[in-house]
Amino acid sequence: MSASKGKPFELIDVTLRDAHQCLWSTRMTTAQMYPAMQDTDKAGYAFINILGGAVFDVMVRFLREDPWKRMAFLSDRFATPTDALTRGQSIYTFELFPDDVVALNIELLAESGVRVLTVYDALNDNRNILSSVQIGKKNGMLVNAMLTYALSPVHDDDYFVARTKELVEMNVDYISVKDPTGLLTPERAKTLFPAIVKAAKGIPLKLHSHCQSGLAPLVYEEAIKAGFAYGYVATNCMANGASLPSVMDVLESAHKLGRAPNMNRAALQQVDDYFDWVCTRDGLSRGAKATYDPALYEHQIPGGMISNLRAQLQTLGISHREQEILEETAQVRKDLGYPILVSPFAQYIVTQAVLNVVQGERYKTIPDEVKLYLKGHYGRLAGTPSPLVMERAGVDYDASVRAGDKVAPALPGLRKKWGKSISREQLCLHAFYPENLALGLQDGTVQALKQGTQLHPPSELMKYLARQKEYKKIRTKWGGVELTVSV
Amino acid sequence: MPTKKLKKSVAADPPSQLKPKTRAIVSKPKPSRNASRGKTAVKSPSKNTRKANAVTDQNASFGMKEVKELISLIKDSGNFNTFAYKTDAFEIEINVGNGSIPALAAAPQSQPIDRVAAMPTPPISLAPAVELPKTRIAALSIAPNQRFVTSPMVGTFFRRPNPSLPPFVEVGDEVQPNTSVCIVEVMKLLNTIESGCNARVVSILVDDGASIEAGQPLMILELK
Repeated sequence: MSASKGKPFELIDVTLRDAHQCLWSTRMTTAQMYPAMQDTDKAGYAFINILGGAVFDVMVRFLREDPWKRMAFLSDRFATPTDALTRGQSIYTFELFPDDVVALNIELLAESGVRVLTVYDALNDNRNILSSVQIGKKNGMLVNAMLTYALSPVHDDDYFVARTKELVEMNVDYISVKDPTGLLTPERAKTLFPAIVKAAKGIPLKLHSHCQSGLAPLVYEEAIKAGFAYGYVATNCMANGASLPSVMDVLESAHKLGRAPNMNRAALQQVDDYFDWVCTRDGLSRGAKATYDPALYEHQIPGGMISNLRAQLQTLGISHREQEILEETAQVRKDLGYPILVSPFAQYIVTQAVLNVVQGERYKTIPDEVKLYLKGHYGRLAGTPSPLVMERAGVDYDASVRAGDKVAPALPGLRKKWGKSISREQLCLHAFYPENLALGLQDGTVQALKQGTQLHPPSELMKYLARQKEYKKIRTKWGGVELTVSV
Repeated sequence: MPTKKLKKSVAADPPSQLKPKTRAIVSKPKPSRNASRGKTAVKSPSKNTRKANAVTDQNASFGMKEVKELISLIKDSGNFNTFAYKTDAFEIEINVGNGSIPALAAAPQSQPIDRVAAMPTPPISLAPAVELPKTRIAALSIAPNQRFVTSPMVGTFFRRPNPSLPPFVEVGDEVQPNTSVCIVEVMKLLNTIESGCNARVVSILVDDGASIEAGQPLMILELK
């Protein structure tokens, strides 16, 4: 079947990207990464994923770190090829960007040293990744296109085979199956994976699945059996739950199934010890194995979003209606033609469900973004929305035009505004963000270099103790140096 | 895995952290373990910065393993006033209060109680603010030929399509059923509200950008 079958099942690290996106609200700083980089590089990963939509966005909005500086810093120092993910025509956000901005972003990624461009579209409308694929290839990158998995009557094997064939036509270097909510089961994978392997015609396949249902490690075994070439994994303490499977577990599976990659376990342990310490020191979450929750398969809301929804319901004073809202979410999803519950569509569906429940009438108010979705503004829909929704929204569906063609080029205007001397990196930031966010970003690598790669144990202990507010006075003595801190 | 190992070693240690009221814990790791750790920990900082160059003690060390063990000890000690730890390589003493524990502990405790006692007053003054919209609904009476534009949800009211554009409508404007009159932002999504009737805008009741309640009247329209 696949050429990958006799070869080792290679692993891709997501610790510096999706693991902290799922567990730390994407707040990992470059300084937190630096001490783990050398061991991560030595561990034997095929690729290291360093960027995704949320990482770029959180760096700009919250960490106030310049993402371009981090990208170059990581790709320069890693001998292992790096992998960066974008949302195709939406790049790092959920707006639609013109092709010229899409192109500039990918050129900058390539120049920063990123080797693999991973790209997906939340609607699986592959026209929305077409420009990215072409520009990536033009810039000498390897292109990894993702299929986003969903559980619905329309997302059957034939649907994914058709999408796979489109990607084969686009001549991508890798095809990934991405399961953002961890909905795949081993049973489902048993038919789906071989069908995709066959349709991929020898293009190596990758699996990227989250662990909300707890089944992902078993689903990875199905991928190994079906002849997938790669699996995305996280360091042990930041794996499972909303994150991806543990490198240790998948390594075990690959070993058991005779496809073990050559990994340096001592280096993997070093990386894990380090991040385990960072979780303690900075009070950050570790991954915990999820227990089976049948409701997940009904509402399909990603774990990270459920906690966010609960907070919002509390603010709105309607926490007591959570159950009704979750049930309504399943109905809205059906009525909207089964959009996949990933950002931003997950937010659209949940908000519509809240409106339906609170107003006591379905689709009395429909958010503008939902109307745009129904019009086909963002791309082709997987299923057919219900007549009631279409009538209430008062829109006609027409997805004949590629979303990227609906937005005018943005760079000429930006160049005019900011002048010729502006760097292309800064120009790109202006294309994404308002001025207050695009300007004044710090170079996080300066802090990383200042801090160094080796942990200084007494300082580490003091960092931990400083976070414990109840300690009024701490006195330490180490290597002839005595230090007293009073609050 | 490392945490498991860690717990074991802590459990095996003899210190008296099991007594809840222990004021001090002095834990001396066994010399054999200490020595083996010494090699790795001295090696790693010596590669590093100026600070680390101060490490010249070859016989004892304080590495990350010791840091983790120490934190487990601190956590297992529960409520303490003073925590002390000393080895040849490292000493630490942590004080919770400022020394004069009973006096200080009593003072902050009495303050929160005062605040709790004061609590019943603010809710009373807060209550009208929360109920204001309803009061306003009750107070507002409209003629039979007038209609409210009401908010679908708790959210934010916007009069303009975006901050750089003029408002959708002004008082006196004539509207048709599908005329957009305002935007209500709910859970970060924008809901453009249409007038729903042929009418004239008589009054705009809410300021641009204000927070609004579900069902709150936003505008008054007079039917044509």
